[in-house]
Amino acid sequence: MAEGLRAAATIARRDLRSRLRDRSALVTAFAAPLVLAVILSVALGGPDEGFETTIALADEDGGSLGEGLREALAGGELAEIVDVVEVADAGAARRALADGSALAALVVPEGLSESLASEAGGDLLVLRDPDAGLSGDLATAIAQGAANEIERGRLAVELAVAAGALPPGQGEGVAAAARARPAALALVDDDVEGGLSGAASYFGPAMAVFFVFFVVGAGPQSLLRQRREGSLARLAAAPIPRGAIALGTAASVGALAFLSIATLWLVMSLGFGARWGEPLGVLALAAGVTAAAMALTTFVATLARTEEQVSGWTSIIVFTLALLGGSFGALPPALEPLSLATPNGLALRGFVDLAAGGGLEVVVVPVAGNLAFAAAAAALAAPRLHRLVAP
Amino acid sequence: MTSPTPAASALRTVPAIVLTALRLVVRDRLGLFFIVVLPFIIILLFGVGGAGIATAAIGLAVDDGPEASALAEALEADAALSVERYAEASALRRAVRRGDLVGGLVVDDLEADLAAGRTAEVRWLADPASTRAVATEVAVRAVLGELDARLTAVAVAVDDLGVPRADAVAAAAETPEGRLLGVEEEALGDARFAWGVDEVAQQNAVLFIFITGLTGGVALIESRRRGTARRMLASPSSATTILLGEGTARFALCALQAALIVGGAALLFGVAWGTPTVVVAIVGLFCLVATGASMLFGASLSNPEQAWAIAPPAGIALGMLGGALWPLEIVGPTMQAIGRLTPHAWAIDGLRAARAGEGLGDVTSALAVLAAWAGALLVVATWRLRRSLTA
Repeated sequence: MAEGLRAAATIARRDLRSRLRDRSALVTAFAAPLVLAVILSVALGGPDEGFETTIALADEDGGSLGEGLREALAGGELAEIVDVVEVADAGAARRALADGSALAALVVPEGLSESLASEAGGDLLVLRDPDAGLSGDLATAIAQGAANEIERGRLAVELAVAAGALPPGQGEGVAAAARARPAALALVDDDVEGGLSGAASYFGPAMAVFFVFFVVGAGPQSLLRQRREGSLARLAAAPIPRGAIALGTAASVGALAFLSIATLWLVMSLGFGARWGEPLGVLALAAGVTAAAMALTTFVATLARTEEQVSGWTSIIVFTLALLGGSFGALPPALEPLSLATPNGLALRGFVDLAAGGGLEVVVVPVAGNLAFAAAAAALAAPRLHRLVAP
Repeated sequence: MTSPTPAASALRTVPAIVLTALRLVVRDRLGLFFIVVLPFIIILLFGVGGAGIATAAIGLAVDDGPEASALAEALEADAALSVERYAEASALRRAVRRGDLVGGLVVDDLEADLAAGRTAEVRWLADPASTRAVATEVAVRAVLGELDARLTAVAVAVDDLGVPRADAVAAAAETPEGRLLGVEEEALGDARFAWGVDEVAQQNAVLFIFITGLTGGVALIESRRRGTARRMLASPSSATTILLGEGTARFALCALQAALIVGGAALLFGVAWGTPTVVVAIVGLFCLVATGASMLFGASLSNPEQAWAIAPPAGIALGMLGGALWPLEIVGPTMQAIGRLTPHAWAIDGLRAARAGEGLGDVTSALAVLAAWAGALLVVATWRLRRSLTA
């Protein structure tokens, strides 16, 4: 037993050393996941280069409404992100959108102030370029802000009338008081960690988990290669239990998988401010998904006849699991259960919860799920395992 | 008997090389999975599955009370929103982080603030990088605006006009709806980019033509390693004929992939690809780009394992940069500029133009860039391959 373990340890050491010298193993374990994680994080997470837009203002009305919009656009944060171009009328605003000199437009139709004063009502017009959704949203929000202010005045007057408390001739005063009052409700932005570090906290683990399957999948494939090349037969002549060969190989690819995950963890944390959360939880998730990947790829290897088949089937399964598991972006909510049925999806759920500040309890289900997955795949592989290490 | 002219020999040899290469692909079930099945799984998951989510799920964490119920009801009444109540702000934050919710609202002392006439702060928790969250915030802001007007009217009646609070609240409930000032939105034209099955199908065509090209290069490495091509030189085939044959074979493979995605997506998902001449020209040129990349890849690497390790990640990475996994519109200016350096971005531009009904004259810059890419890659690849054949 002890001798077997010693033999396994020797095999693991030598195997790992030769893997670390093999260029394709280095690409799979380090270069590819890092490059993809960095592109994903930088592309989808920022860095926030600052949103800026140009909004055309067509004040056909020339009354207080246009004045209010002008003030809103010139004040506070808006002034920093919005350039305002004043145009004569709605036609000119349309032309500005068409030639790209503005990305959205606010139009105050002629006579609007008057029809508001006479309580006939009317609409502010927002012109949107469908390809500049954010600018359109901003223009709409500004218009709605103006509309809300009018609404405050109207409601206050109506309510005072309904309560029988409106002093005669005081309507305008009440409306003005309502408009001038500080907001009862104020929406303030409270960013959930997003942006670059948020993306790096998601796509780092996502790519780590994706490539772990390729890294450990190389284990059973190398056993098959050794059998073809006859080195297994030669090993069989030595007093080494067959299990030691499999154990040694598993230990070496498992160690490489951990090195791969740890490298991503380090680079995404130091380089991109990612926070993966509680280190023990990260290790547990890494162990769980590595075990699942190892058992699954071993099972695949016991089914196939040639090395080409093994590597082919492994990539098919790995790509499918990665897609379903959300490695390249979360699936639509309706497909979420499908996602959680994959080892990738389970592990990623754990990583996301950890990164959001969850304690060790959030990894219990993902780790247990992956260990169960590993046990099931191992049970399926067990009866055929001898095929891998038979000389 | 006269020996055949070089042209006649090439005419016989080139189709033979092409047919052999295609036969090898069709016989390889792994290759077929990547070429035939995977693109459609992705279109199904991200195109069909992702489209048509009408309501945005948001969370609300606020202590129970009459104002809290009014807030929840008002939000729920908006057709664009579905609201889930959370007892703990931390659980809500985690759900947003995880992507279960588009955003969340947290209010700490709603009832107390309103009763005291203070502004109640409503925190909007969202990933600032999410465009969906920004659009949802506009809807939330509109709902809060309505509510704010009502609350302000009550406050004015109570504070300025001395109406008892209970009476004011009762009167507010009876005050007729109907704003004086509305906001009317008008979109100018159709969106060039609309998330949905058409866009995903276009992205996938570009992504997979290129990946198929790169993995097709692996066969070239095999044939170089086995010396097949060199041995063919001993036959009456010239190096030019062999290169032409190998090139045509890669091109045929890419074209097969293109035809499958274009035809399959049109048949299965009803994708309208648009102006046929533009689609054929853009896809044809992009297949040439992929052919050049394939041959360069095949000429530069020395063993198939390396190629298998590098090709899919490299194809995915270029696809990400070039907007073949997500639209370039959602990334920042720097990443967009980098994306413009890839042929992928130009191919997608061209395909979008085709879908918008534009003609060949409208896509000259895309055609020119793709032609330049194809020319450069093919020249370098041919030079390297010829050297490896004849050196």
